[in-house]
Amino acid sequence: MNEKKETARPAFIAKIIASFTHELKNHLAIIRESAGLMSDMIEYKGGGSEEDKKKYLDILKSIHKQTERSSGFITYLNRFSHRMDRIRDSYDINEALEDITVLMSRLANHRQLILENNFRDNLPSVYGNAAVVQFICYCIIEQKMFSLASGGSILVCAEEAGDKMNIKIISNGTIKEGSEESDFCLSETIDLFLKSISGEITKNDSKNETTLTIPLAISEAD
Amino acid sequence: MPAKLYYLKGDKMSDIKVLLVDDEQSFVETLALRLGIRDLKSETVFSGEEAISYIRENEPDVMVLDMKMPGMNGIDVLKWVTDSCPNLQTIILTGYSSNKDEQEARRLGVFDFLAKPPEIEILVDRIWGAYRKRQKMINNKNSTS
Repeated sequence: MNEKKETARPAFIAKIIASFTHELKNHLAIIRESAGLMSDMIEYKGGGSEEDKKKYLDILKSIHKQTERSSGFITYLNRFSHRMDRIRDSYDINEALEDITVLMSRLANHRQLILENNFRDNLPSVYGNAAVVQFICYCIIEQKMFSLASGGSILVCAEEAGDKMNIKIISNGTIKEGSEESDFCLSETIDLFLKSISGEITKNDSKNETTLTIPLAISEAD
Repeated sequence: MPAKLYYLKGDKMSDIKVLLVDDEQSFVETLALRLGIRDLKSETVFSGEEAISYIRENEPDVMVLDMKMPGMNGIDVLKWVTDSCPNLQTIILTGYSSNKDEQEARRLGVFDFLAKPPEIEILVDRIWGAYRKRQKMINNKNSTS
């Protein structure tokens, strides 16, 4: 696969999303600071009845809370899009997995599933293409979500294994009848992506565990 | 993150000269008003270039600096400050930053690195911390010379 050509399109989308989210974050910051200023004026300068003041402060707290929520999501979206900026870079695996699980949490909620992370401290940085790792994780998670009945959960975690990193995606819960995990995502396309990051996928059906193994550092010759 | 780490009872906010640098004019002006309500006087400029000409004329104690700005970005300003005004303490306040940006900023000696929008009390507290560090640096320099 010609990596440069293959990454040109996602990089373009990423740059648009990144600049858009940056802009949105600025808008939210202005809304939040304006609400903060109004709170300050009510709290510090007084005016109005105590009952009115309480009402205004409650409204402002609600604005503050919502902008905080949006701002949090935008941070993940922005970081996610920046992953596609470079073909290879050193990155924090926990952050890369956190981005994908947070951004997929809505999809999981819609299916009444829980998507969770269990991050270990002090994992070494990985050098490679984080966006491709995220894409493969997305495919595995999507596959597991497709086959799990509501009430199930999917756990994503990473652990160091010598000069490699194992990313484990483990499902828990009832498998929907007739929807055993299909291999639609682990097709030729995934194989190509796996090759590009020198990765490997192994499955342990008894534990409902799929492991993506990637080298800690991909060599420039790969 | 603890809100009151540096601020001590009896500290006088009006002693500190703060410069706010951000290309988002409405954001930075509102922030200046909020700091003002807390007796912390600040000046605002809207680009890296403006920041440098302001500092040349009137060096502040603490600069609160955005990273992503058209023209000179935060890192460019920081590099200039590190060379030209080593006592000036900088707090980065940014909407987005990569780990690399943060590492580079820390390597250049920023006092702290905060995400935008900031918790106002935390920002005020970090400004105090930065001011104290500056005072310490100046005192050390004076006692050794």
